[in-house]
Amino acid sequence: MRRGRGVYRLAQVTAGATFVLLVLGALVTSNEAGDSVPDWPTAFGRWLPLEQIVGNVVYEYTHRVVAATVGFLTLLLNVGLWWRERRAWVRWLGLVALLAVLGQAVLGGARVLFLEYRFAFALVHAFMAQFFFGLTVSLAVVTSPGWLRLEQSQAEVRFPTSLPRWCCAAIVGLFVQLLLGAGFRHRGMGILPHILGAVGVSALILASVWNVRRVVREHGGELRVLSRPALWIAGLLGAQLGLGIAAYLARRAARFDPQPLEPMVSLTVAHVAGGALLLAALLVLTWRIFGLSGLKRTTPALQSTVGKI
Amino acid sequence: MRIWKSPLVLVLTLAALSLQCGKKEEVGEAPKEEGAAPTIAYQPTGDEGTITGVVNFTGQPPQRRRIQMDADPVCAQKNPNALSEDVLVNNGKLQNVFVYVKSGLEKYSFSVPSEEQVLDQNGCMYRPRVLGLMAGQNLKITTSDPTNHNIHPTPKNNPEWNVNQPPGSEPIIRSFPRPEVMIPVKCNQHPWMRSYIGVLRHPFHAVSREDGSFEIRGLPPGEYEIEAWHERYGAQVAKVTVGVKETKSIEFTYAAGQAYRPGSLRLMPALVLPCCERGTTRAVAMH
Repeated sequence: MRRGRGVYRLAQVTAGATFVLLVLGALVTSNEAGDSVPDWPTAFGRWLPLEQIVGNVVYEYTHRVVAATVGFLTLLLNVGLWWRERRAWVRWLGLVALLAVLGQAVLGGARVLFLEYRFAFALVHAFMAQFFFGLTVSLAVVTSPGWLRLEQSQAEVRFPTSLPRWCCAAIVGLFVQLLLGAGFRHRGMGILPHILGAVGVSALILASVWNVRRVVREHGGELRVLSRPALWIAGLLGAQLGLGIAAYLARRAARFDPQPLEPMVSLTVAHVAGGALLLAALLVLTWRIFGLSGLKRTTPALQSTVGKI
Repeated sequence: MRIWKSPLVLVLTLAALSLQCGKKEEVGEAPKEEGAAPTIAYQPTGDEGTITGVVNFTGQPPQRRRIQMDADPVCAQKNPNALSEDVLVNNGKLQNVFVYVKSGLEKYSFSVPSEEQVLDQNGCMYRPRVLGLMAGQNLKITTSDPTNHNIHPTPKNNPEWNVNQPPGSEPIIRSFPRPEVMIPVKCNQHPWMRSYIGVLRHPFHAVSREDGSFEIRGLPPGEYEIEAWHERYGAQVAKVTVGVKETKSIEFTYAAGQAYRPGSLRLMPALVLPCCERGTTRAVAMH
């Protein structure tokens, strides 16, 4: 075993920092601060324009600094992975994350510099942010001690073949929904696609949770490795739907405000953060299902151990 | 996998449709009456007429909101009691309505005035809030504030730009090559700062004053469509015939309940500016 807890901790910190970065990005959009710094990668021609960090520049500049920090953390994580991790696919996953964060930085710069394509770049930037967050969450999951125990255990769980498909469909649906939400937030499209998306993705998520519940019941209710994230997903989905409605109503009420004000800003940011958390919970669930499915393929049946995971 | 495919396909289709709907409003070169190529370079003959008028406002105007400038202490200190300026009504008269000749001048071309129009940043507000320019005419952007600003027009038919203007810096001179009514201008550093620029292919425009009055001088005799545009209440159109050396008077009337719905809150279409929104243009009788 060449794996250490350090890599797992680093993956956790990177995922946490990425979540903070997502929240900051949502603050930039909700406060209409996206173009407050007209140049990139410098800000007003400098790296540290202290006296100019006022007004909306605070959001945009902080977003850039945290983005650079996340980029550095991802680089460190890759060093850790290529040094300590023996599973090639995990190392490659880390590399994909590194490429994604570099691409995301370039997209952020393009969003600032190429104003004619502002909406397109903003949309892709918003999507890539969630995609990259998903990668960091995935890395944290697959480098976790729990995952390693899962790999080492001689367990088999009988899943209906539809379960992983439902979860993957829910993830894809959620990505589409995040994209539609970004489209509305960046004022490139109306709310209807996002509302219909919410109905569709809720159905997919609920179907996944219902299938997990069925599997957990079949295993005597002791498959907590799946039941816990499923419970989180159900709770987050409810909260997210409530936040979405509240954010939209707040936006409607604020349509004649002279500037972005509370509670519209906080509700919108919370809704974006809720979407990211829902994605993270779905990924945790799906990875664990794949982990257990993998065991089914490679190990003999040892049903009794599974309930204790 | 039919079950999960269906909603996704539906949603993606609607999203694509939504973008397509928006596209229709984003494209298009100049206002409709500008389509025909100008044939005669207009030279004043002394027969020109004038259109005067007033913009009325009926009903209870929305209360002006306090602008929170605390995010930039310089702004908060210089303009501590700043109020929103989107709807300014004095004694039933509406200020900051852009009134211009929408059609009737197609056969003429006009030389671009050499004087610049000035847009100043003072107290972290744009002065004036609404102004008109000819396509190609210089816009001189000055700053009277001891803080940083960025000037960011977001046109649909002209190139978009975003420049920083530090305190005490030289004025920025820019122009818009194509006619466009209206171009929103904002400062992303101070998101309450808004201005609107009407760019025309002729010089016949006015902005309603504090008493709601406006005046367009030097019009060649002819039949015109005059449009009034307000950032919150949309556009109205009046038809008027101006005879030789004649002064015609028209009135526009906006009502408190007719505020437009911002595009971002609509169900399907992409962002729709108040100037371009379908259904907000209303014919107005001549007085």
